[in-house]
Amino acid sequence: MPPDSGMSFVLVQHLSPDYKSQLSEILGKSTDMPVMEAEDGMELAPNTVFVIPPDSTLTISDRKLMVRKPAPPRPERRPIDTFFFSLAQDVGESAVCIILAGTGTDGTLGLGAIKENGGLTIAQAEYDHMAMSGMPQSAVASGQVDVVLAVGDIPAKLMSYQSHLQKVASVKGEDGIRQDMASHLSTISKLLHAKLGHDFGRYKENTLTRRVQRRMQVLQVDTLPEYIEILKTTPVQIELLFREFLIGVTQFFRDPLAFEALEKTALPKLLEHKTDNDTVRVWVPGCSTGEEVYSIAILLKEACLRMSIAPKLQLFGTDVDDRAVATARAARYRNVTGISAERLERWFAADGDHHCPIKEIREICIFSPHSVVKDPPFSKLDLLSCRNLLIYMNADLQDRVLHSFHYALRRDGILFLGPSEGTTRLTSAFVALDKKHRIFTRLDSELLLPQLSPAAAGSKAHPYEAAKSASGEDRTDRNARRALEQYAPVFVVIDRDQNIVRFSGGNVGAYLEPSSGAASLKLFTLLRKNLQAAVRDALQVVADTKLPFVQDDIALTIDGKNRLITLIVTPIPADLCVVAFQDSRFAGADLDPLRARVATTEHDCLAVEQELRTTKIQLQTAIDDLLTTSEDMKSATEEYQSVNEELQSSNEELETAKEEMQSVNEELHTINAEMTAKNEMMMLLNSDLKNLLDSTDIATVFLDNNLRIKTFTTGMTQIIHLRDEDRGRPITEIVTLLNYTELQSDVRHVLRTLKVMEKEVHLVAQDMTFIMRIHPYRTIDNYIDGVVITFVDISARKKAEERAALLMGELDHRVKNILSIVSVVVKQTLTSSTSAKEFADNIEGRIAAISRAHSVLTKDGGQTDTIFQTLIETELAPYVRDGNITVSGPDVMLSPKASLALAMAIHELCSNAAKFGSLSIAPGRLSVTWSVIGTNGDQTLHLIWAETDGPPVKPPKRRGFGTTLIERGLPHEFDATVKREFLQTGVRCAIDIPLTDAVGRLRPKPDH
Amino acid sequence: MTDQKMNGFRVLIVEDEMMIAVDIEDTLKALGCDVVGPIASVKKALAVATEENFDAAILDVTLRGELIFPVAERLVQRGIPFVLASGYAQWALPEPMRVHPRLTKPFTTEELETVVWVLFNKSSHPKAAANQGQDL
Repeated sequence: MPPDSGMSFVLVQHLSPDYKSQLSEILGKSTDMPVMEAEDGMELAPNTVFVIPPDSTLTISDRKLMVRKPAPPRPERRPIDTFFFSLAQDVGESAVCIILAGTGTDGTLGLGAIKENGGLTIAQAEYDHMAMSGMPQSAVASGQVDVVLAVGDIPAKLMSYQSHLQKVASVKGEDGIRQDMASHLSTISKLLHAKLGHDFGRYKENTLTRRVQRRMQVLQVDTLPEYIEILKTTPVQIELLFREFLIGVTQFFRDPLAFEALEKTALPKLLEHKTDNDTVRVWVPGCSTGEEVYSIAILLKEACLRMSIAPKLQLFGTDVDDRAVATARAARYRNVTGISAERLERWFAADGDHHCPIKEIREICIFSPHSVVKDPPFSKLDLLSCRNLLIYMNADLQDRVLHSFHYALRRDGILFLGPSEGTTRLTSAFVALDKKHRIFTRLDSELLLPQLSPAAAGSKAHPYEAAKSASGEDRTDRNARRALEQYAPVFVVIDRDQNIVRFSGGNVGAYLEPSSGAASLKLFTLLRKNLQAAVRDALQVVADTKLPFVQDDIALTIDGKNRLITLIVTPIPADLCVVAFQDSRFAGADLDPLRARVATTEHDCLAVEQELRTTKIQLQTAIDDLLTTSEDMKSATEEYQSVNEELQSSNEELETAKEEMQSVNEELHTINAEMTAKNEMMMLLNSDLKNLLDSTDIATVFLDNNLRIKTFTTGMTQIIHLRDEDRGRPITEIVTLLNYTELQSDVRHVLRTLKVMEKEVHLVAQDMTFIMRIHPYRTIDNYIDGVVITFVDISARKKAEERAALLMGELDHRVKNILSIVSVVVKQTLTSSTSAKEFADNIEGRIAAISRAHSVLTKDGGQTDTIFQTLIETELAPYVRDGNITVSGPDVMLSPKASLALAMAIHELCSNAAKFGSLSIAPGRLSVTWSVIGTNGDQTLHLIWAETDGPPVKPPKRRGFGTTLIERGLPHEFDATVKREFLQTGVRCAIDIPLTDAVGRLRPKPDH
Repeated sequence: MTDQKMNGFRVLIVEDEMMIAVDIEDTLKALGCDVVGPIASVKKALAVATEENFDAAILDVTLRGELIFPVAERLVQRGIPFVLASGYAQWALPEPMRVHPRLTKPFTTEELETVVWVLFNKSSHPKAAANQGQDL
């Protein structure tokens, strides 16, 4: 394509919405023209290629491109059709649409619009000018493609089309109509009338002009005289023009008055005796694109509704033009002129710019290609509507078709014809019900079997016609003929197949000699053998020349007499032929020479005759066989014809059903794919949800508005005794383990207020605590359908909190207690100290002892008991020297309180020993031993503190705080007895403490 | 602080911590009081509270893990004023106990003396009447 053609190119293709097309880049490399992706509002520029952007709808308006995003979902997405419609509206005949390879039928409808508006339509050829399968073929099948071209030939066509448009532009007026058309239009009309017998004189002039103009554009003829010349010389162009004229002439309820008459007059009569079990059969031959069929279907439906009956309706629409039938089957109509708004609303569904008859109507209409002339008719019809089809036929054909119609209709069936058609030739077959609107009723009359094959019918003579022609004679003629009969030659009349259709009077039998075998009217089976050769030759001559042939002096032996006869063979009209034989009256005079001749050849003749006879017998056998076979064939053919008819209608039904199944299947495929994807998503979500619920360990139950259990998680079972069978039961019927009785009222409250409610509930038996939340259950479309109740186990947290609180309190108490003690110790120590030095030493030691006892206590969190031995060893640790101290006794565990008291006592004993006793000098020894005396429940811890090898001791002069601690602490707090003695050997102190729970216990021996 | 003594004012001390008991005892003695106890268990305290004669009491709330309230109730019955002592921060007392003065451990000698004076003035001790209206 040259880059400066002055044309704009727009490329629309099918793209997946999320597919990033590389098309503009690819195109850019192969053309010199700029290639760009279309944008909304972009002005159409010459010498430029525009490409549809992905996921969008491209239209054109005022030569500007309009891009809408996103594209509609797949079933409605027909980007090519959409663009073609807008293109046809916008630029009219300057539009050229090219359907390139692709799958589906997109573009076919839009192409029709381009053509209607005067544009040129092209489809891509595969090779040999056959359209490629898929979109180009679908377009071609619509009958609206002007040329089918290989891609390589398209630019040339475009260029020449463009130059044609430029040339004729000068003769066009404002409205794009050629000014020079009017004068030529009548010529063209006449031409059409003359050649096809159809008068378009009363059609609208503008419509015709446009159509003629379009044909001229397609042919690229610049002037009208040139075109008329083409019409005259090429019959196919007249046919094409005729088709062009016919586009769009059919419409819904065409000739509304007639349809009204049909509705008012005929249908009530038709339906009056119908019950729900009956079938109403309607045939619309020549239905074109189906509008008439649907119109009648609507009328029938409405009539049935009015009469409150529901018989099965069956409408057959047939047409010779299978493209029209395909359109009728598709049932998508842009032009719905003629349908009232109410009917459009009631019986059609809008589909974008189109209207489709609703399923109720569509499914009772069956379409199939069928020729009313060639094919056997349908039968047992209640209504036959054949409008404006007979007008295209000559009288003879009309007759035949009407015979067919008579046969096809049932008794009292209705025939509905076009305004200028009638049944005048068959007054015995039909009677007018509404003469003005051509509605007829079938009469019962016997005649008239449909004559199937037009070829056969045309060649056969009509016996009754011959009879009719004979009945024209008057008496004189008859008498004269009778008088002359004995002198006249006898004859037989044969048809083209050499069947005898007439015998003359007179002695015709003399020339005939029936042969053995099946009876037949074949001339050559009846004719005397010795005449056959001559007659055969004569018939051959007549067949060749079409002229009468006479042969005199044929020698013949009849009944043993030699005779001379004259043979006359004459063709007569209707493809018949008369074969006459005349006895020669002069036989006697010339007999001798004849005899001589006969004699000389007699010998040869006998031999030949013998041979001939043999041959004839063989031939006869063959002919007989052939006849039998032919008979069989005929009856078989008839059977097949009826079977064929049945098959045809079932095939049509199947085809329609198949079509519907296909589209349903396609829909289901789409839906199925969507459902599968959704299902997968749901499964994923479901498992996510399940895992989430399981992992959070949150017991959840879903209730509906009536508190019935919808579903629950396994965690719920430990709170409420739920089983799988409990789904659907009201939760109030089920025993709950919770100390919670207001569930019902709380749920109702939540359902009323739609606010989340949160409560702490306890599971008494298990000592568990839960946070219960009641949420309203909102469906995705924001509809409240019950509640979700979740239980979050907070028992552990609760217990931890309690323990922590307890610990804190205990700690606080203990610290305060220790501080109290420290405060007292300070005060008492101060009181009993004589110097600051003494106070410092004493207080330091005592606080350290308290602190040590305390540290032992807190080592394990302040809660555990202390091992007695550890306590003593800790206290004595500063004084241990090389085996000077012995510590021994059983394992005793002490309570914190007892530990402190004992620690203080031991500390005082220690510090005294260190100051004055056995720990004050090197040889001094100390032994601390204890034992547990008594039985379980009444045990006493018996401790002996014994100092030896120390300096001499004596009781203290003054009773200090230390003494108080030793002698009063344990007795006061634990009812212990403390006996301290100041012996010569050293201090000895015996302490007996009842081993109560408040004090401690023996550590159980580990089991081995 | 007053120099006046509460000679002959008998005070019961219930305290299981010996050192604190000794301290209270010293303080009371310094004030001229006669000390009953100190006692370290509820059981003994209950017996003393029933049988002995005294004018007022200082009760530790928790004794070896037991609560002192039975003793307190007995004292209420006998019309003997008392003060409740405890180391627990927010110690919750049963309703009838809340009207009685409290002493939070650790307490200073001064706090103790003040409380004892309050008890003294509340008590039916003959000397207490003479000190009525005294500015504390």
